[in-house]
Amino acid sequence: MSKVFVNLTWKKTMATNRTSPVDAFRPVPPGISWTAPEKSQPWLNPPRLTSIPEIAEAYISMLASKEMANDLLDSLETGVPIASLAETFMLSGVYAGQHTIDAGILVIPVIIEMLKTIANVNKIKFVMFSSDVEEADTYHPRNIKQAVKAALAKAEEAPETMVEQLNTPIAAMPSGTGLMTRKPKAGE
Amino acid sequence: MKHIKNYLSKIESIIASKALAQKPTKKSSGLLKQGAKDGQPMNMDQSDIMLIAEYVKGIRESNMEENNGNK
Repeated sequence: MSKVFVNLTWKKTMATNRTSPVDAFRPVPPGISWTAPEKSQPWLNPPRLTSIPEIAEAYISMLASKEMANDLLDSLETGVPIASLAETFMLSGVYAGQHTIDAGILVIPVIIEMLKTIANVNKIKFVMFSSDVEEADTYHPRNIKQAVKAALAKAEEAPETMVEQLNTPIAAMPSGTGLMTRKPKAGE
Repeated sequence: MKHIKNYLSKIESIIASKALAQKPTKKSSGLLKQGAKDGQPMNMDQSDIMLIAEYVKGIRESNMEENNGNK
């Protein structure tokens, strides 16, 4: 009788407790507390859109919507490269669990083409890649050579002008105007 | 950014080759895909890229039509 009772209570405790006594002694992998539980984030779930046409059409309709227009034009006017914008859009789609990153990378040209079209329609000058901006900011070697030549020519002229400046007499400083000058005594 | 540049250049080349293929010839019917014409089956990635090229071309053409309409 007592054995049956023990068994029943054991089953009850097993049913209510989440961890079995075996789990208590099982070694825990280091860093397990830093990992997210399964399907806790949108990108850990199966994607909502799976086929390429679905994803492309979702992006086309999203970019063509009126709500997006103002923000999109603002960011295009500030000179953000279109490729970076497209990549950001794609990654935000992955973050929201809309599609996988592989499908997103495939769809990037569609997003870029849409952004280009929007910029052209609104007559906004756009930058395609971030490397284009860097290229525009750097100086051409020819310009650098010219600048170095001009600096050298100035340096050659400089000694003569320096000698002239040294030979010219310094104008007499007005006395008694500085802060540290001694005040004349009453008897002097 | 380099991978996007390479990918875009590939898409451009596909669009250019399609434009060349669209010129009327006796052999091609114009309905079959490039891979089907050659007799080689396309794999999944290739067909997806061809689809993306189609989309890009479509967006470009609609933009061109709008520009021509505005003029």
